[in-house]
Amino acid sequence: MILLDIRNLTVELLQNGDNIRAVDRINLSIKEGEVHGLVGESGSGKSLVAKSIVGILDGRWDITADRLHWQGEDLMRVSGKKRRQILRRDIAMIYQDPSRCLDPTATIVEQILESIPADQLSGTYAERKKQRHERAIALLHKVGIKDHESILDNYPHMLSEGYCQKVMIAMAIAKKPKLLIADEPTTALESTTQAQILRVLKGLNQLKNTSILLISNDLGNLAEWTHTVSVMYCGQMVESGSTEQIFNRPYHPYTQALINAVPDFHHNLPHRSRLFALDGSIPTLRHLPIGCRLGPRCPNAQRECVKVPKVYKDHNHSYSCHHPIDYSKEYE
Amino acid sequence: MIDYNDYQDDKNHSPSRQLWLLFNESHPARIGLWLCISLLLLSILAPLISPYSPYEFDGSALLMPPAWADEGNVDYMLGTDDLGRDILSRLMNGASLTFGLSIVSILIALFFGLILGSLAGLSKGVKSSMFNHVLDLALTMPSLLTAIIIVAVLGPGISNMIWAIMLSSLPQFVHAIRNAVHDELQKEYVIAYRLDGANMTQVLTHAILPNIFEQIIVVATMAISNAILDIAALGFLRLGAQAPSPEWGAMVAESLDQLYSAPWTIALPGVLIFLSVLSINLVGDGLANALKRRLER
Amino acid sequence: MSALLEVRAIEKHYFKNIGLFKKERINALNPISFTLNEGETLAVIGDTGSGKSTLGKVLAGAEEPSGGKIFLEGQALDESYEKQRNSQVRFIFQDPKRSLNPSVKVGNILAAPLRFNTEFSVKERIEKIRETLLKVGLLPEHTEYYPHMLSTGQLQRVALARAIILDPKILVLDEAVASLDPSVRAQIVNLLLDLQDAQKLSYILITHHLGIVKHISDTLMVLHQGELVEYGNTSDVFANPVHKQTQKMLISQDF
Repeated sequence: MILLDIRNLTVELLQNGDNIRAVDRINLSIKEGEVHGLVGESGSGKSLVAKSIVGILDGRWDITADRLHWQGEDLMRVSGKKRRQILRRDIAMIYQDPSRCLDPTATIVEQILESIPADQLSGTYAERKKQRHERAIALLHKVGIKDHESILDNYPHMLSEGYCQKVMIAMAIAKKPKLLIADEPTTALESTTQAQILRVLKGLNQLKNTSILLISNDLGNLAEWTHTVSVMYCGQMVESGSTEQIFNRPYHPYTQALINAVPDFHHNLPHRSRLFALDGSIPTLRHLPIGCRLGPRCPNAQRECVKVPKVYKDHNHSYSCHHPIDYSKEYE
Repeated sequence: MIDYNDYQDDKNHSPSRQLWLLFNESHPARIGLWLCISLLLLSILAPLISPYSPYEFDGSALLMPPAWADEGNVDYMLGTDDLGRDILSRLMNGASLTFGLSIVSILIALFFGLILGSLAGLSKGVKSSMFNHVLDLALTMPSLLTAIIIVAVLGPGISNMIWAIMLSSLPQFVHAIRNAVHDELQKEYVIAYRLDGANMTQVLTHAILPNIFEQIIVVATMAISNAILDIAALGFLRLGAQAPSPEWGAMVAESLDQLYSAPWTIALPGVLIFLSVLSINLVGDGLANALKRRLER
Repeated sequence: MSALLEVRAIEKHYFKNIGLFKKERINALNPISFTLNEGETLAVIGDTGSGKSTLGKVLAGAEEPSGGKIFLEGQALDESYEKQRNSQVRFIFQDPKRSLNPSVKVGNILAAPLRFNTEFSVKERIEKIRETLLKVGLLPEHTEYYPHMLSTGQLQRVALARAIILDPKILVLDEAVASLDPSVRAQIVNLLLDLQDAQKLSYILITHHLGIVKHISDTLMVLHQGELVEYGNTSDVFANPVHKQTQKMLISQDF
C-alpha cells in the first residue's frame, strides 16, 4: 500500500519579482514497509522536500503540489489542525545534528518521557507514570542502548553524538510512526557509529514495518539499506527506481557520476587512479541553468538539454534525461 | 543540508558593503545616521556659522522668547537668556563641547582600549585572569560615579572632565576587546594564519582586528551615547564645563531658576541632549542589528 | 636514503584541572613513531578520541608535542626551526568556511603566507598567486573574491592553494576530503593525486572515509584511544586486519 504519494511538488522561495524554484516538480512515492533513499548534494533541495512533507517551512517559501497524499488524504487540502493530527500520529523526523536538536537543559529521561503520547497509557496517575518510565527504557533498548541506567540522567552534552542520535530515534519512534523521515542521520558521525545507526534504522524497518525516508548526500551509504532510491540535483528529480536498478543500470549521467565518484563501488579500481568527476561546481539557486539543470556540467549534453526533459519510465525506473545512458550497445 | 546562503540576494558584495546595505534597510538607523552627521558637522563648523559669539551680551534683549512667539525677534531665532546671550549661537557652540568632546574622548579611550584589550586577549594563564578580575572590578562602578570621583580629585573643568570620561569608559572597551580577541583566537582561520608563519602582531593586525572591527564600533557608539550623558550630567552638577561655557548640561543648570519665566532656555538644550543621544543609539542599534543579520546569512 | 619525515616517540598529554589544585593527566596521544617518504601518502584512521586530530595538529605545529622529536629531512624540528616547518609542513582544515578569514579577499589570503615566509616582491607574489590558483583549478580572477562568494568546493581549492603556495613537502589533511559532497570530493581527490605526481608531495590523510584511504594511501595507521594499534602497508592492512578495532572499522564500512 502506498503511504506517501507526491506528484509535482514545487517549492519556491518568494522574492519580490522573481521566485526561485528550489524544488522543481518532483514526484515521490513511498510504500508501506519500504526504505526509500533520497540522494542529492548540497543545494539539491532534498531537505526542503522533507520539510515540506511535514510542513515546517516558514512563510518565505511557497509550496504547491498536484498531489501530496498521505494514505489517500491530501495533506495540501486538509485543514491545518487535521494535518498536524496526521503528522503527529504517523510521521516522525530525525535530524542531522542530534546534539543540537536535543534540549540542552533537560535530561535524557525527561525528554524521552515527554515524547511518549498519553493515549498509549492507561490507569491512574501513578500507574501511568510507571508505564511511561517502562516505555522509555524499552525505547532505549529498541535503539540499541542496553545500559540505559548510565545515560538516563545525563544531559545531552555529556553523551557522544552517536548516543544522541539514538536518543533522537528513540523519541521519534515513541509514537510508533508509520513513516520516519531521517534527514542525513549519519553525516555528523564516525564510521563505526554510522553503521550502528543504520543498523538500528534497518531493524526498525524489518521488525516494525516502519517506512523510512532516508536522506543522504552520499550514495555509498544507501546501497545496502534501501529498497528504492531517488536522486535529486538542484531541485530536479533526476532518477528514481529500485536500488538495484539505480546502482546497476543508472540511466541518468548524474547518477552514474555519483556512483563512479565514490571509490567504494569499484573494488577493482586501480590504486591511485583518477576518479570520475563532473566538471564545474553545483550552481547556486540564484544562478540555475534553464532546462535540465545538469546541462552545463553534463558530459552528454546536447542542444535539447535547454528544455526541461520529461519523465521517462521503464517499468518502475523513471528518469528525466534527453540522452540517457544507452545500454543496448553492450549486448551487441 | 540546505545552505540558506545560496538563496540570498546580495551575496556578491564585500562583507563591509553587505553591512552597509543591511544598515541602510532600516529607516530609524538611517535617520539616526543623518542626525549624527549633521550634529558632527555642527560641532566642527559652529564657530564659523553661528550668528553671534556665545558669550556676547545684549543688554537690550534679556530673556527674549524664540522668534515664533509674539514678543520674539527674528534677530534672535531661539531667543536669549537672562544675560541677553543668543541661545541659538550658544547651542551651536555647545555641540562641539557636548557632542564633539564625547566623540573625541571616546576615540582616545578606544585607542588605549585597543592596545590594552589586545594585550589582555593575547595573554594567557594567570596574567590574563588577573587582568580580567581587575577589569571586572572596575566595571562594577557606574561610569558617571567614576567620572565624578575623578573630577572630585582633579578638580572641575573641561580638560579634567575629558580625562574622567576617558578613564571611566576605558574598562568596558578593554573588556569588550579582550573578549572579542579571545573568541577570535579560537577560530580556525586564526590558527591557519599562525601556521602560515605569522607572528602574534601579524595575527592580530591581519586576522583578528579586521574581524572584530565592526563589533568594536558597535561598542564605541554605545559608549559615545553614555559619554554625552556623562558630560551633560557633569556640566549640570557644575563639575564639568563651568558657568559661561555653552555646554548643554551647564546651560540647563544655569537657567534652572528661570524654569517658569523662560522655559525655552532649559527646554532647548534638553532637546538637543535628547536628540544627540537618540541619534547615536539609533546608529549603534542599527549597526548591531545589521551585524547580527549578516552573521545569520 | 633518509626518510622525508621521521617521527620518534611523539606524544601529547594535557592537564585538566580538577578541583583547585589537583590536576588530572589526559593522554591524547601515546608515544608514536613512524616515517614517511617523499611522494607517499600516509592515512591515519580512528574513531573520535583516538588522537588522530591531535597527531595532525602536532605534526603541523598547531600544538606543541609533550615529548618526542620530529625530523624533516634529517633536521630536527624545534623552535629555531619553526619557520622552516611552517613552509614545509602545511595543514588543511576540515571546513574551509571556517579556516579562511571571512573579511579578507582570496588574493590577500594567499598573499599572507608568502609575505610571512618569503622575500618575494609584490610582483613576484602576484605571479605566484596566479600560478597557484591555476594549479588548483581556479582562475586568477578569484583573487578579488571574498570567501562567502565561493562554493564549498571552490573554498577547499582555495585552502589547498594556500597550503601549496609555499611549495611544501608535506600536507596534513584533517578530514579535508571526506566532508565534501561526493562529486566535489572526487574533483579534490583527483587534484590531490595530480599535485602529488607533479610536485612529489607527501600527504598525511586523517579521515574516516575508508574508500578514499584505500584508494590513495600507501601506508595506513590505525589509532585507538591514543594508542597506535596497527601500522602497515594499506593493502596488507585491508587484506588482513590484525587488531579488533581495525576489523570493526572495516566491517562497519563493509570492506
